[in-house]
Amino acid sequence: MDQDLQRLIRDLRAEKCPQRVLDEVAKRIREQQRPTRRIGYRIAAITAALALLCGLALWPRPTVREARRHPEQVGTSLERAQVAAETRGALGYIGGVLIAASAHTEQIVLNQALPPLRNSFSNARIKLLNHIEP
Amino acid sequence: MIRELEFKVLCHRHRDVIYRYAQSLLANRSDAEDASQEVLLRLWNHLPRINPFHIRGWLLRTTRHYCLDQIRRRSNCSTPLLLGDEALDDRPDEFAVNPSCAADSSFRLEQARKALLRLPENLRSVFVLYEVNGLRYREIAETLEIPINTVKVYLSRARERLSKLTTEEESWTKTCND
Repeated sequence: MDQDLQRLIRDLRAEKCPQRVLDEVAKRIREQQRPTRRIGYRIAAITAALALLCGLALWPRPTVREARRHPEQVGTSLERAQVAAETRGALGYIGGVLIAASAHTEQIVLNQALPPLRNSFSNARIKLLNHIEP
Repeated sequence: MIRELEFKVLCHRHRDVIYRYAQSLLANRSDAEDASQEVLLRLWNHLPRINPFHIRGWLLRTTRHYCLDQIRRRSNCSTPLLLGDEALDDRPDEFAVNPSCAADSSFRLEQARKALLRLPENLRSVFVLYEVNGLRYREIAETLEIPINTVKVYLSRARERLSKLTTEEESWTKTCND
């Protein structure tokens, strides 16, 4: 009897789940996901289109009346050249400041951060070598 | 992406356990395949909410609930729960060299299978989970939601009854043949 039970147990343990079960599960999961994705894409497309339309509708456009009301705001070519020169100067200044800041940072990294890092690497190397070759 | 990878790993790891348990409860291969599919699909749907340290217990509990539902539906449809003939089909014939030995051995295996299916569900579950799927007492207790001592008692009873049932089956068949 014990032999029969043992054989039954061995027989049951040998049972394997067929691959088609997993294939079917994968197929059903794909089917589950598909409509959700489609709806998601549709919602995203509609939202994007609505946002674009709202943006276009609310974009501030100068009307003819406003243009007539402020004729002094229309600058001459001389004023435009002055503005361009000032802008160029400001951008140059900002660029200079950024370059100086990066140079300063580089110096700090080289002088303060690198030596301890190098030391720690060499310590680690020595420890490893000691560990490998006792 | 990570969820899919995790799911694949879990499927490959636990599919056989689920399938064996479902087959022992439903006594039918195609039903066991359906049950495995359903359980794995539920795993996919509930994966983010399942405690990763108790996945096997969750899977086996889900398998049990699903199979018991199926059995209840079958009994409502008045279809008896029998051992499907297909359960013994397409098995490798280990004893093809000696036909008489093969016949006897297959016959005895069939008797043992029938005896297993005649056990009550709780005893059968404990027996299959412990002996076939290799779960520990604690895991079985968590899966079946019963105390550990009850698991031990059920296992002992299942072994006793299986011995008794197999002997009865054999003697009954011999009497019929005579």
